[in-house]
Amino acid sequence: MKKFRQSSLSVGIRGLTLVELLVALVVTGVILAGVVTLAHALDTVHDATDDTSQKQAQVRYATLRISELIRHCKLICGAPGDDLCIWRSDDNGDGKINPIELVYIESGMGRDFLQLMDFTWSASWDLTLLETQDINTKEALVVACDERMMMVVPECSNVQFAFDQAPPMSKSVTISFELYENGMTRQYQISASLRSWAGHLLSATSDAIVADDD
Amino acid sequence: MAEATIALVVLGIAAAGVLLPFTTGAKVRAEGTRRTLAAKLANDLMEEIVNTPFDQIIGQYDGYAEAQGQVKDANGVVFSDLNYANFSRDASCAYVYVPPQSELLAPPNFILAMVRVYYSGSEMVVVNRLVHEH
Repeated sequence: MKKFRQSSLSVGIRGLTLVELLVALVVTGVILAGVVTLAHALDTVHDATDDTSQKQAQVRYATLRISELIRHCKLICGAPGDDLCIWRSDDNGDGKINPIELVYIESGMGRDFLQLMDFTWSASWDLTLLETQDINTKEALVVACDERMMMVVPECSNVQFAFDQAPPMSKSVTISFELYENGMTRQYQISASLRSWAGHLLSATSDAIVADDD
Repeated sequence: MAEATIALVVLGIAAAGVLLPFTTGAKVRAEGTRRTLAAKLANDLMEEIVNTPFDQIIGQYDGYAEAQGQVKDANGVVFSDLNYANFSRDASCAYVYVPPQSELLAPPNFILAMVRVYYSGSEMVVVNRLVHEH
């Protein structure tokens, strides 16, 4: 054993010096710091791009859903409160507005989201045009009917509804809103024109539906 | 020291390899965002055209153009958002006959509207629509 130790030392096998160890530690530290910084940067980028992708998907979906709704609706009934009330279609062909044929585009009191609300069931009930423009009608419908919500843009701000003419004469609607993306506020708008405006069902004073004029 | 230098070079190459898909992905996402906006801008202008009385479409929108950075919203106000700064768009409209219509029988009651949206001068979206006289 003694002979072996002597021979090992004599052939030059030795450990690392303190300086070499320190240099190795510093180099390792630099590399690890770089890796951690890179990982953090990638994580930040991933979060940012994920947020942007999600917001863009919301914008695309909202644009498609709302513009199709407006294009093919019969009438923009009114804009009671923070909502837009739309007569989607005359499903039963009676020339009257039934709750199940209405869709509300809601923006909330803070005008900070876009949500569609319609009704899957309602009792036999005809609404007048003036009732659809009443701010209290929606609450009454929610109590009396089965409502269904569909959130299209959950977090936005400054939602505004604009019309070429005041409802129910509107043939074009623009919904503008702002989205916070990557630390910046972005402007968006959804514009749509009614393709089958049911103006022929309106009375001469445009404040009532006349079912049997033509 | 030589080994450490070699290790750093290898690590640098590996890091570049790791980063490349992310930068490419970011570019693709940015392109997607631009195309989404371009499609929306084209659609917005087309909706304005469709909503214009038939006999006024040619006068108002044939040759219509918004220069780069001067794209307007539905209220006619230029977008202040920098997202729209590099976009421009134009429109052309022309009366057309749709078979079996004939030029000899009646005046045209269709207009072919075309909207183009550009980003930094490069064409991004073209939308065509046939508008009929109501």
